Amino acid sequence: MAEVRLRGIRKSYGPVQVFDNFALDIRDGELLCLLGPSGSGKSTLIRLIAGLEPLEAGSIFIGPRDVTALEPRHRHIGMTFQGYALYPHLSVRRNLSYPLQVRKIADAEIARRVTSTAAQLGIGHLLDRRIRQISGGEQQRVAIGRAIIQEPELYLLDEPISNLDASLRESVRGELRRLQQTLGATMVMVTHDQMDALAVADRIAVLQQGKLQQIGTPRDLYRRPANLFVARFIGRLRMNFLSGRVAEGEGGAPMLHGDGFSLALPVEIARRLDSARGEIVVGFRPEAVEILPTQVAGAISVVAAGELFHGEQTIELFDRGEEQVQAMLAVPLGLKRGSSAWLRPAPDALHFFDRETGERLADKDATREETR
Amino acid sequence: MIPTFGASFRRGLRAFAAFLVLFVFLCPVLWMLITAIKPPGEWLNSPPIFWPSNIDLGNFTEALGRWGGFKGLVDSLAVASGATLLSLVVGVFAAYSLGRFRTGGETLSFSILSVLFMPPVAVAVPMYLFWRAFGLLDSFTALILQYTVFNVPFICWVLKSFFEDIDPTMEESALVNGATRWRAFVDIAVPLARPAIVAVALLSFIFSWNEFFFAVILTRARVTTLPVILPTLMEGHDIRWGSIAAIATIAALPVIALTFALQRYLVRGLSFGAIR
Ligand SMILES: Nc1ncnc2c1ncn2[C@@H]1O[C@H](COP(=O)(O)OP(=O)(O)OP(=O)(O)O)[C@@H](O)[C@H]1O
Ligand SMILES: [Mg+2]
Repeated sequence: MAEVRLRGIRKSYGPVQVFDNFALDIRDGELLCLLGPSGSGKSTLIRLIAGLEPLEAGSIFIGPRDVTALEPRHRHIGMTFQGYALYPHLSVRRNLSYPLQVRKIADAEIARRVTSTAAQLGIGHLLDRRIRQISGGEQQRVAIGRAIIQEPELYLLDEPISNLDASLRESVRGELRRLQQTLGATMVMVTHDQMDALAVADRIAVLQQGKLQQIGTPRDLYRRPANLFVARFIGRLRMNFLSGRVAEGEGGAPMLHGDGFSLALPVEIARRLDSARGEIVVGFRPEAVEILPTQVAGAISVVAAGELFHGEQTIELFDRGEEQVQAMLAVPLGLKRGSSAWLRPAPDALHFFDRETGERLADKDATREETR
Repeated sequence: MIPTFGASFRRGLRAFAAFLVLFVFLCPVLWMLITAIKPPGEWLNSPPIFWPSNIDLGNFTEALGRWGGFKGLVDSLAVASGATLLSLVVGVFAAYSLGRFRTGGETLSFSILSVLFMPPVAVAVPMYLFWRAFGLLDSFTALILQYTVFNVPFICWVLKSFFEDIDPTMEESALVNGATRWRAFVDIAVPLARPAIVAVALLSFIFSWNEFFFAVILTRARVTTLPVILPTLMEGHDIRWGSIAAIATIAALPVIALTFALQRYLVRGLSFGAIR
């Protein structure tokens, strides 16, 4: 069993406080992606789990063991580092066997495990090369090999695919996912690329400035981002945001009024809102809009600003005064620049946020992260 | 492509300049070697004799025997190797600690470095009294420790920046992979710093081998390193130039041999931080 529990973690570097009273649960056998922008504390978090950074407060459990006071070598973790941290003065073979040699495993067993690990990762032909003599993608495999050869129950991978070029990333993502499933191990993978996280993770934990913004399945995060930060961060295309105020429409139905639009506000949200409370931000994804030539209810007035070709899809760019809005469509519309159009988001694909706090305003299926 | 006149002219000029510089620097060395194999009558002849009439190795036997050159060689080797080994042990650990853990902050590492800025004359008398108080005058211990004091700051300074430039995640990955701090140091940090370690070892050896000032002050007859033998040959009327040249040759050879043997490390080790 290798679930990981972090409780009340506090950590600073000099005057820079990275974590304060931070808690996180990682489930046994899951692939958890730590997602966040640069400097959000992802590396620091896994270095804390590995025991490479001293804690100021809090405790860390791996399975039933309290490892808070244990040295890294006693935590039994397979880890890869952001720059791979391979040993340049040793051959690939010695890099792979190093963890077994320091643990005084018998030579025959080491040889067997090196061969099988190298075969599993397709690096058998590189064993006698130096690290300098292999490519970046091959180095990444050696780094992963050095982690899995120890057969640990917990893996910590710091940006394992970020340094690879785009075509390689795609295939390595799939391989990592398959590897994690074959190993049946708990894996924490750091990435700052949300596409990597959405593609491979069982669950994603979004970090910003050392605060856990949201944790949930990729679907959860995509469908119900907990706040503006997550909404902005997740998704292939940036979500569109408009702000408006709550007002009473015809027949007393609650409406959200903004510059050039007026949208029906779900009663569940309106009921919980004190209408004097100020501005609401509504977000909708470019994938969930229709473009209309004439004004209808629930449509937003925009001005065409150009088109981007994306293979199967086309991205239409629009201006709304200073703001930009985009829509992704299967069929290019060929709108003339400067012509006006109306954009209608699908009513069930609207996300409402409190402008001040950035928090999501609860909607009808408002069970935040599904409990388990 | 046919080289233009200008290019080949410049190349020729550069070769000539290099030759001139080498000539100026190597002339005294050459003269030393020639004098060492000249018979007595030809040492100070006027006009100078550029090649001896017959090669005379008597200077070497006289230098090694009568003038104590053999004992000097043995003592020099003992002092220089002892000081180098001790300096390395202390220096490598200290430099790793300063570079990796920032022990003592900038203050400590700068105070250690500042020992190098101190003129030796300033401490000569205090050091003499110090060793006398311990009854260690004219002993290997005193000379080895004294040279260690001068070598360690230099070693620290060079190796500290070398260790700082080694990516710490390599040692950290060793820690996660099951190594103790000590193992990570021995298996990862030391091999990666090897060119620099070899370079500072060589320079420490050369310093200890050549050192004259403290050797004269701290030793008498029990310990005599090669540099202190030389002036004893210049006393009296009959200065034995041939023997002086022979001792100088003997003193120069190990250093030259070591430098050639280790030159590939020297270049890498002294270009700070160039590890990859
Ligand atoms: N050794 C250190 N000394 C001082 N500050 C540090 C140190 N390591 C990290 N920090 C700071 O801690 C914060 C979190 O850093 P961390 O490396 O964990 O971020 P990250 O999410 O991994 O970023 P990236 O995506 O760039 O790798 C940053 O503000 C960083 O500047
Ligand atoms: Mg990082």
